[in-house]
Amino acid sequence: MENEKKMITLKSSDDVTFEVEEAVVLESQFLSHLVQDCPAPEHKIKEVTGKILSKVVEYCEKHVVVVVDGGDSSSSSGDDLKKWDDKFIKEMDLSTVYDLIAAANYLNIQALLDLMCQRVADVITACKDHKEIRETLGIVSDYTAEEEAEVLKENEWAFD
Amino acid sequence: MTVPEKSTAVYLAEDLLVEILTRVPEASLARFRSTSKGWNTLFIKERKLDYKSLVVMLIDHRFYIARLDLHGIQDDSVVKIISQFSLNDRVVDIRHVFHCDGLLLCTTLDNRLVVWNPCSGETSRVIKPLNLYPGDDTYALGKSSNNTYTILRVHHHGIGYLVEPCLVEYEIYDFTSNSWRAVGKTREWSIPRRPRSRDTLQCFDFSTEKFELVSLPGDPFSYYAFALSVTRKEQNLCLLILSRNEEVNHIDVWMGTKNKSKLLTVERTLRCKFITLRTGMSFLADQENKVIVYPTKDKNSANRLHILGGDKHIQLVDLNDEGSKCSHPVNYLGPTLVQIQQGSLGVARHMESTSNVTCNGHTRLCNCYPSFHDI
Repeated sequence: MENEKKMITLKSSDDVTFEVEEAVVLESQFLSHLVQDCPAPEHKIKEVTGKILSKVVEYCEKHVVVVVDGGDSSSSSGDDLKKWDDKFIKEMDLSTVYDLIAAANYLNIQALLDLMCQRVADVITACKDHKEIRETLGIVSDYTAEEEAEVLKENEWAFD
Repeated sequence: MTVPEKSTAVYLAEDLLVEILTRVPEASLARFRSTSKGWNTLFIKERKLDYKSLVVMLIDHRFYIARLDLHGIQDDSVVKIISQFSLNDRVVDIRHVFHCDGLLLCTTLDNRLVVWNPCSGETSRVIKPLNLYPGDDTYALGKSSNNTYTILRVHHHGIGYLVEPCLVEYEIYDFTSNSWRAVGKTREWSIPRRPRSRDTLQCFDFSTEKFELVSLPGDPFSYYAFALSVTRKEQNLCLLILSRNEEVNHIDVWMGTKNKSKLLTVERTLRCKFITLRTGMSFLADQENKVIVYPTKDKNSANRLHILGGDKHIQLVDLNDEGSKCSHPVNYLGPTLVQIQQGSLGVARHMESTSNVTCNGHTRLCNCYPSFHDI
């Protein structure tokens, strides 16, 4: 057992630096390969901004701690983690969610990707019709009135 | 990155959009298609979002898998069967099939209980049945509250249930402990081999492990409850009904959501009037194409799928017997049809409801439905 934990510095595209434990970095498959292949103390992640990287680090730190502490079988830590995840996503606007999806995909953090994609899917599912989906996601319709009537008729069964 | 930025504020790569949309239930996806052309194009292009999926058929005791695309199908189209089920490299004769979330449970003619995943082709697990003749029992496959597969077995004592209620016992098989355990018995209802004049719908909740009565939609005295199925993606129960009024020329399919809504209505044309609909037959209800698909045999005993609503037939071409007529005698049970989604196993996410339904009188082919959404 090493007493001192190995620290790694991550630098965002806009040069914001984050000093994290190696275990946190290992949550990301992309970063684990990066630190293994290139043992430099600092790693620049050109694709991710400081704002988003701070969220990624926050998520990974939380999840690492729980896995280590949970150790054997404390199910409450699983519940706590879920609660934490819920709070984590609720505080976010959709554009941050999209950025996090792109970042989680790039850094290959499957659990974060799942969480964020599910968040958008839930938002879509909660909309009762196409107009509400447009409004929520900021989609501008490019259908003509006739085309829209036609596609609505095709999918009529899905509306109340 | 082909969804144009103009049409959407969701600025993600296409594969990530698909990643999101595969988590959205079918009805919401259908509403989404009406939002813009860019999105609709993505739906048409992306096979993952397309629910024209694999169909597993039980024909003359054999399993066959075919890919079925109901959109724009021509009469007498040919569907090639793409693979066949075998156990330890030997083809097995199947008696009955039950399904949940793409996983199939079969009773075989040689009295075995086998679990099979047709998507992965993964074999199968042979489960030790509780009695020598598992084919005599009724089974249902479901998921327990902790999201693991569970088998329900309904066993009737004696043959009394042909005419009057008898003792019905039910047990649960747990895949984690690999063992059966009794969960209850009743004399209040039984699952008859032949339909009776007045059927009821019993629902088994896999989380509470109890049966309860489910009300039938509309005025139950005005129709014959004919057959049960499930919707493709959301796995909602569908009930096919036929009006008792002979002048009514259409067939209704109801969907067993909370508010019980009519899923679709199809007109019976003169041609399909002569095609027998069997009680307890299996069928697929397709909302998008407004058709009901069910297996049948033509006068030469060749296997076909009849598309009710489109008034078309699909020929099924056997693997080993390409193009020729099927020589098997007409199977009294008729073929069974189960629809599955490829690669969809084991990712059930919505856990709100965990009930399965057994329909008295319709037990043979589609006695149960998994209500897990979005397999």
